[in-house]
Amino acid sequence: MTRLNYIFKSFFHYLKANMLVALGVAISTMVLAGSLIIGDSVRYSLEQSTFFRLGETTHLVAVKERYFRQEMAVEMQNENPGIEAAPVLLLEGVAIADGGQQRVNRVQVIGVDNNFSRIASDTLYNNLEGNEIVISRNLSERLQVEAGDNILVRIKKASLVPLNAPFVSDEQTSVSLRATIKKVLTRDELGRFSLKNSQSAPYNLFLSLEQLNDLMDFSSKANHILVSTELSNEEVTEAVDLSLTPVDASLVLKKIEKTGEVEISTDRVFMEPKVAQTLEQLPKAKPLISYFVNGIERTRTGSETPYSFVSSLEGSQLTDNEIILTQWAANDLDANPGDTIRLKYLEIGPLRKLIDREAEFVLKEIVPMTRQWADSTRMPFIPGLSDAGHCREWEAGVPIDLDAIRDKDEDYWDEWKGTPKAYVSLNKALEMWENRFGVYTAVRFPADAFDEANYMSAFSENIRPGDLGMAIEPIREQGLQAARNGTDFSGLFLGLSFFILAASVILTALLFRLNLETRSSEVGLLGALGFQQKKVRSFFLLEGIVIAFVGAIIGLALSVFYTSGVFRILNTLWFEIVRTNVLLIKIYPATLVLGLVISIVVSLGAIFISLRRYQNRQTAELQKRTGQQLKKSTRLILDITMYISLIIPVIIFLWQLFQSGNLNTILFFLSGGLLLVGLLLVFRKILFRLEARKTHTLSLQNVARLNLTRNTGRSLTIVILFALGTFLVVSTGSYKLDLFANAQDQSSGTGGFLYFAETTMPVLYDLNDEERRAEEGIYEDFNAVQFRQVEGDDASCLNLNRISQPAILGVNPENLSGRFSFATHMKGFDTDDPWKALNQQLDDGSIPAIADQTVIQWGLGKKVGDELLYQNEKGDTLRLKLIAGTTPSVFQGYVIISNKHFLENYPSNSGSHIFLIDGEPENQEQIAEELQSVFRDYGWRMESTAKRLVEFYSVTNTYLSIFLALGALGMILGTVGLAVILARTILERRREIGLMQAIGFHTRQLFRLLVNEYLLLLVAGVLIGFVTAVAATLPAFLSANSDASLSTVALVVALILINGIIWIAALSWFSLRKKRLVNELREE
Amino acid sequence: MLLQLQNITKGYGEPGKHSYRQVLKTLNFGVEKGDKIAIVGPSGSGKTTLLNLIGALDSPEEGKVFFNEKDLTSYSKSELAGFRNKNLGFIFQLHHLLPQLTLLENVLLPLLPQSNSVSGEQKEWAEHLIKKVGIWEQRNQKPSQMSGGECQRTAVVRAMVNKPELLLADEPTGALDEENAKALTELLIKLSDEEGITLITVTHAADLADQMDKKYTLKNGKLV
Repeated sequence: MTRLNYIFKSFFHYLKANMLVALGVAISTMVLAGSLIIGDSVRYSLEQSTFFRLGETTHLVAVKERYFRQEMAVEMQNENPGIEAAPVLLLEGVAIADGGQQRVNRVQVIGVDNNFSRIASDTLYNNLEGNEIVISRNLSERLQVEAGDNILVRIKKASLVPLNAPFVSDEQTSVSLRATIKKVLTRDELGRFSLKNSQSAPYNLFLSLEQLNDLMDFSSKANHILVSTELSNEEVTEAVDLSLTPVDASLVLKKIEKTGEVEISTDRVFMEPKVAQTLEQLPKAKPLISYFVNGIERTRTGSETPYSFVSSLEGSQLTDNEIILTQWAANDLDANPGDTIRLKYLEIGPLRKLIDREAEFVLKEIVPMTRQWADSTRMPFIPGLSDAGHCREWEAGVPIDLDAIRDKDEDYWDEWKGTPKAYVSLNKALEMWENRFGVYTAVRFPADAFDEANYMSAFSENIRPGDLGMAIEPIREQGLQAARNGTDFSGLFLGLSFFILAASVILTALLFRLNLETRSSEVGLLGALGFQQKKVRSFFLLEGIVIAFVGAIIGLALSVFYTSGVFRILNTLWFEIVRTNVLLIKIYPATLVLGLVISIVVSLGAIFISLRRYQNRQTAELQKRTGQQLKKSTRLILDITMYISLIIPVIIFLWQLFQSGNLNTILFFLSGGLLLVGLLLVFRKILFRLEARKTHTLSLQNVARLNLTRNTGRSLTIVILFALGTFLVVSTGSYKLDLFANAQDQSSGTGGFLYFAETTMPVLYDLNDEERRAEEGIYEDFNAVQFRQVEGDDASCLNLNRISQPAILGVNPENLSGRFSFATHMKGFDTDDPWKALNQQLDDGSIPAIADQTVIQWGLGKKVGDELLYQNEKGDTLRLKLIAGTTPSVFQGYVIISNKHFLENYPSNSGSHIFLIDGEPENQEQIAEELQSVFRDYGWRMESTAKRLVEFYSVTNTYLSIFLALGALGMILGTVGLAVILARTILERRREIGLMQAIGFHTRQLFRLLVNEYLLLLVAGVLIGFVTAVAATLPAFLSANSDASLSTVALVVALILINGIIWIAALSWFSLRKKRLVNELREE
Repeated sequence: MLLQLQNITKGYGEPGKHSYRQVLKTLNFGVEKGDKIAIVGPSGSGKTTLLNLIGALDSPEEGKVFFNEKDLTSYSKSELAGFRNKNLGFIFQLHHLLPQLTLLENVLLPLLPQSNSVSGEQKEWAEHLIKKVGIWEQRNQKPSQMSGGECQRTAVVRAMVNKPELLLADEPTGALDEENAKALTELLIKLSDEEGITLITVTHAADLADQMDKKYTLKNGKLV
């Protein structure tokens, strides 16, 4: 005989009862370990998703709206043999099939060469020829096409010149390709290729790099290099740095025979400041800037030469108010030295907004059209303008008044092309024409002073990849980090399973306590035999360990089924929260052990508390003290807590409803929670008062009520369980939002806008421009707010990865003034309208930014006041300071800054991709039809703002659904607890019931007695939970934004009640069966 | 003197409250080694309360309990548990045998507070007692397989297995029929005589009370 022997014997003797306790442990283990496994599995799936989308890619070299030589990839490999590199030209497009019936926007069009096969570990990418394409499965499914079918692809036109640079035509924004599908790609064939941290697969279309270059009128260009290497990011950066040449900076070196000079110009028309500075430092550098002016006017006569190039002269030849005219221009204007000459030119603002500018000069000199004055190469190469055969063919990206073009102008163009007709000082030229795209149009050198080697060396020394907007990132590591730090599904499911966990732990404690009560004589005996209380406790605790261990092992086995069940639902019904079909179950032994240990510890905690409370009660009973005779101090504390819990919520409710204009949902929820505690304490007090009352009018109802006080602990447990369950279920159900209800309100998440639209091709002009609308055939009345966009990761709740660089939107803040609502904002900023603060320049050099509060908190894991770091187009670090967070809005996934700051940092960014459309609700269908028709070829995708919000809320609502489902499961568990207590109590009271029957009580009366007794507890619990839940979610009931209705909530409550009543009635009926009672009496 | 109770006061409920009921009033009581004492009295007179105080299961509101001249009221809970184990043996009206253990195991149970397992010598002593009370055949049976008399005899052996100085019996024959009650009474007297154990029994049974050396009646909170 040993202590251990005693423990095991006890465990097996009370096996049935112990297994019931183990069931409680098993359920909590199942939920707990299941949640941990779900977390692990989602994390693992996200990690796998990183490999599925990147293949062998470890590092990424990328530029935005720029292009470099695809040979760079080969050169990098030559620089460092540890590198395998594949150049990629990645663009966006629209895929169209079935004669336009099937259309998919925002398709990734990826130009690859044979090197890509190493990244994909598949040779299928080799030898893609001509119009052959391979597409991802999701694209084939959306288009309903298969291998061998033909589709039309409209690809965003890539241009070496920034599309919104001055005088660049916007006529061609896309290029079409009729392609034949060679193969539909699977996941393992890199069909899910994506450079963005997201588990959602993009629509992919691969074709040969050469073909895509041809379509873009490029020659061997790429905008990404996929690197596969074991090397560090620094080593990859070094290899990029060593491979970089002036051509990658779009610089063009040519000899100007006519002037005996060497010129370095740029394919981008305007040279970036850093490049210009480098070139300026070379010996005898002569920077120049040539600009297309609308007119050169002699002010005295008003005579004007239209549409001419004017160039700059460096050195001290001209002061800032002097001008030189060529003989042709002087003749045309009949101008003489000393005359005032006015230059009329256009400043191209954001979205091609044209601003008329003028500058007046004194004519200093008239020069002959010879030698350097007859140099047409001073005109920068601007596609559509420089290469036009006639003036009437100019595509200058600005309105050209063809009537103003005279025959002599055509003749001039035929003979002299874009040879400047006038010259101003370099200083003045810069003052007038320097713009966000750059400074000079070229830098020239005397041919004899130019040393190409020196030029190359200066370039290598001064220009770093970052200066050209080139970012080199360890993309695989970043992807894995984003996956590992993504949405914590373990925590999430633990949170969502809170009630079922609580219910199972309470059930465990309750069942264990019931077991103890049946073994009360054993506890007493052990004490009498001289076992210390501690020792007695340790016996039961050790028995509890055995129970917990057995339960936990069962629970672990169940957790696998639970996880696969949840995953099945996540892949179907709850798809909204994962949005991937790459969901793999991953079970780590360590997780199982952790689940086991936590579960055992939690269960033992519950068992320990139960045991301790029981022992204390035993002692109290021995000393003839009853439960209510607690220490005065404890009683006082409980009373004070009760009054505080009742008074504070009432004060808050009254203040919120009548004084504060803004209903604070958190405050209401806390108050509701406090009220729940208060009312439970009131119920407890009532129970004890009932017990203490001396006189009762004897009635069946009174007997039932008095019976509640037989075991106040049990009665309270039932009430707590039901109150808590009802509170959680009702309050969760109330927070489901109806987003259509308030959609027109400007302060709502829609901002009062009708539509949210995205395009694949950028819209380069202002949609509100009346003239432009007329040109495009837009006649409906609406207002558009346009957003510039820098691509980034999706930080909305649709993305499970932890994002650090969400897409940036640039907007004119005035356009959003008074729109949307703010959940938080930084101190010191306009609290009513933080949009106004977006234009501010902050003292610390950061740029103010606004995002959806849910994005800030969950997507980015940050708070207002924190900063987001980016690399801007110039290679500098861009610090965005989050100054405010909006309430849930259509901006989920983005961070918003002002256009002003946007263009300072991303000057090459052209046009808008995102639009908010406002108009009269009654015209919304016509507006939608017209916009969809006009911008069809832009890949226009438009949805109502309310619908977009609903999509985001589908995640929240799905979480709420899961919570409700698990809550309901918890309620069922709670009912099981009720049933167990009921069964046990009836068993204990069989003598009493038998006696009552013996003295003449009808079975019906006894049934009513029992049912009344437990119905009272059930109703009390549900009522307390219901009232407090409604109080907690009052803002949702009062809000038009919510679909919380008393009828829905009442239905939930009714279901809980009906479920409880069925159990109570069934068990009562079972216990009162005549045959059984007779048996019990006979036993007695 | 083995046991001495000095000015013991004990009641139910909270002192000072209307509901408070005093059951023992400045009670004094002494027991010499080897005494066999019966305490009788009407129901609710406080007999069990008194026995609980003697058995250190409860503490008095006022007064002191001395055992071998040591004040039990100054003991900690842990010391009291040790004291009970070493010095006292309890027999209750219901045998309170643990259903999960065999007869022998039930008997050995009181030895476990002292050590994790039972020594050979202790086991021999237990077996000796079991044989002595005539339940050797049932030693491997569980309580559910035994008669009421056998169970109560087992409870007696269990109370004596630690060789206590004082045996406390609370209505030991209360749940037995006449024949078994008589046998148990004889057994108690025989064992206490043979082992030199002091015996205090609370009983309504006149037969049992009459066979004790001394008989006290608890009346109005005092022993007379």
